[in-house]
Amino acid sequence: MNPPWTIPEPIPQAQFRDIRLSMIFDHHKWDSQFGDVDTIGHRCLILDWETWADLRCQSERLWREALAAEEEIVGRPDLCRELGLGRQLRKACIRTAAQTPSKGMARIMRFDFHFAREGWRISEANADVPGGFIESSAFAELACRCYDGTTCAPDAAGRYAQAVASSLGRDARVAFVHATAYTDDRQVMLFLAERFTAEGLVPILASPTDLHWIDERAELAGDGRGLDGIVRFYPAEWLPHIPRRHTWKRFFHGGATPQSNPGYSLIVQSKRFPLVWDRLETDLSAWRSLLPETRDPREAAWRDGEEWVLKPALGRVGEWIGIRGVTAEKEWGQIAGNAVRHPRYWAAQRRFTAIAAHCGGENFYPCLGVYVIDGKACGVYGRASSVPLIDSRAQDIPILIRQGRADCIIDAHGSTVAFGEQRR
Amino acid sequence: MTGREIYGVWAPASDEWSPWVKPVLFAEIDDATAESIPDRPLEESSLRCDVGARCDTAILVDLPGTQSLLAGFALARDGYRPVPLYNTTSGRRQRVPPEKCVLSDVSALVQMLSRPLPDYVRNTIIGDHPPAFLLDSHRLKGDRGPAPGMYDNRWLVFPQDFPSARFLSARGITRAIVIQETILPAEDLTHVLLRWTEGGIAIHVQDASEERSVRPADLRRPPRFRRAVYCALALMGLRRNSAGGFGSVIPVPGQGGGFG
Repeated sequence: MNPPWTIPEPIPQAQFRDIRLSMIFDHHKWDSQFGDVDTIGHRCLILDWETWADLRCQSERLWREALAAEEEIVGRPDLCRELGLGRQLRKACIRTAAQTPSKGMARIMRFDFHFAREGWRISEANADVPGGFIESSAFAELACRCYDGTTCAPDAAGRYAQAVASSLGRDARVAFVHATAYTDDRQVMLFLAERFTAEGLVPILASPTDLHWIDERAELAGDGRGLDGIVRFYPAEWLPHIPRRHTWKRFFHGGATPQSNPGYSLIVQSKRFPLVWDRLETDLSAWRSLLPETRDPREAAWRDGEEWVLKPALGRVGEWIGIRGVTAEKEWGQIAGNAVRHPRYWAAQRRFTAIAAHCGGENFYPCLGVYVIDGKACGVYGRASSVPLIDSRAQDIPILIRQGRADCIIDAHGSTVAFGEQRR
Repeated sequence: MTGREIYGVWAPASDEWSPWVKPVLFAEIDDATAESIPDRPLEESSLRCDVGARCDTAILVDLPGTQSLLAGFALARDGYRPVPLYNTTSGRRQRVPPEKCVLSDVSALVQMLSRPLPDYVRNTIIGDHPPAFLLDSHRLKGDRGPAPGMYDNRWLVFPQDFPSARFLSARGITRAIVIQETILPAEDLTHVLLRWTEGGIAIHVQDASEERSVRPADLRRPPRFRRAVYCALALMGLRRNSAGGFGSVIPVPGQGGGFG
C-alpha cells in the first residue's frame, strides 16, 4: 500500500537554523532539546488534499461520537467503573441527582492517526488536554515557506481562541490553568495567550491552586473577581492531588464557569474507553473502524507474542506503553508486571503494523494528530519516531498539504470551507 | 545585540553542547537589558576549589544565582565550556512587572548573559571542550519565601534537560563532578546523576569553598526514581508549597492577573 504522503528533501540547514530560532524566540518553543534528541525535526511530510479531507472527515466523526458516548457514560456509574480512573475520579465524573457535570465550552480533542497496512488507524484520542499547538501552528507555517505549492492546515491555536471567544465574548477573563513550574506547559500557555489576546480575550496564567470556587463560580484566589472561563492544560488525573481547599471537584461537577475541557473529558481519554462500547447505545462506528481492538489485559493473550500493546488507562506522551520488541526488555518487564498486578488500570490494544516513511536511508514512523474544536477539524500536530512508538523522544515534524483544487474542500457537513488560511 | 544573537554566541550551531543551552533567559534580553548592564567589570568568582583541566570530566555547577555563572567563567579558564541551564524567567516581561521574585537573582543572570563574552570563555564554546552545566542551587527553595504579590519563578531540572550517559561516554567523558555548597546533591539533580551512574559515569562532588580534592558522591536513591509519576509529583510539590511555581504571580487581594 502506498503511503498517502510525500517526504521532500529536508529543510535546508541555513533555513532550518532560522526556523529553530524563530520557534524559540518568536513562538516560545523552549524545549527544543529533550535529552539527546533535537525535538524539532528537519523533515516534513506533505499530504495530498484528498488525504487531508479524509482525515478531517474522520476526525469530526470521532469527535461527535466521543461526546455522545461521554454524555451517556456520565450517567452510568457502572460503566465509569470500567475506565480505570480510580475511585475519586470515577465518582467525580458521574452525574447524580445531587451532582451536575460542570459546564463545558470549546471542546477540543486531538486524534492521533498512524498509517498502517489496513489504512488509517488511531492509536488514541487526546480528549483531556491535548498539546502540540506551537508545533502544529507555528512550525508548520514556518516550514511551509520552504516548500512551494504547499499550504498548512488551519491554525489550531487561532481556532481555539476563536471558539472560546465565541462562547464567552470579548474581554472575557480566561484562566489558563497549567503546571506553572513546568517550562513545557508554560511555553504552550504563552503561545496560546497571544492568540487569545488577539481575539479580544484576557488570558490569566494560573495554577489550579490559584483558583477558588465560590459557590459554583471560579475566581482568582485573593482577587475577588470572577473568571469568565477556564482553559485547562493541567491533566485532570493530577487534580485530586492539589489541596482539598481548592475544591478540585469543581473541574468535574458543580462548576458554572465554562471550562475547556471539563474534567470528565477523562472518560474518552481513558485507554479503557473501548471496553464499554458494547454496553452503549451511542453509535461508535468511526471509533470501531479506526481504533484497534482493545481488551482488558486479563482477556488478551499479550504474553504469548507481539500481537498486543499494553497501555496504562491514563498514560500520557507515550509513557509506560509497552510494545514487545520495541520497548526495552527491562522496561517491558516493569510494564507487564504492572499490568498483571493492576489490570483494571491497563488496557491491551491490538497492535497494528504502522507503515514507515522512507527517506535518506532511514525509516521514520509519522503520527498525525488532528485537532477538532467544537466539531470542526483544524490543525495537525506531526511527530515522527525511528520506532513505531510515539513518545517524548519523538521529533516534531511539520505537516503540510499540497495545494489542491482551488484551495478549498468540502467539509464533512457539505459546506465549502476556506482551506488555505495559513497559505504561503 | 538582540537576545537571539546573544543566544547564537552561547549556542552556535557548530558546537555539540549548544543544544543543552536553555534559551528561556535569552528570550528575555531586549534593549532595556543592554541599557541596564552596569558599567563595571564582572566580579571574580568566589570558587576556591580546583577541579583541574581534564577532558574526560563534565562539571555540574550548582551554586546560588550569579555565582554559578561566575563559576562557569572561572572554569572556562581550565578549558570547560559553560552551558547555562537556567530554565526560568525573571518576570520582567509580565504585563505588570513584579516588584519581588522568589528567585531574586534571575534579572542579574539575564544581564550577565547579555554581556560580551571574554575571549577565554568564547574560545571554549567553539572547539572540543568538556561541558560545565550551570544551575542555580536556589531554584527549588527560592531566595525568599513565596508571599502574595511575588513572582514565583522557582524551577527544577529533569533528566531530559541533560545529555544522556551514552552521549557523554561517546565524547570520552567518564566522570562528572558536582560543584556545590551542600553535602548531598539536590534531589532533582540526583535523578539525573543516578541515570548517569547507571550509564557508567562516575559521579564526584566538590565543595565550592574548599580546596580539598573531590570525593565520590553519596547518591541516595530518591523516592519515585525512574517512575513516570516523578515529574508530576515533583511539580505538584513545588506548587503545593507556593501556589505558583515557574512563571506565576502569587495572587494578592485586590489585584488582577494578566500575562505578559
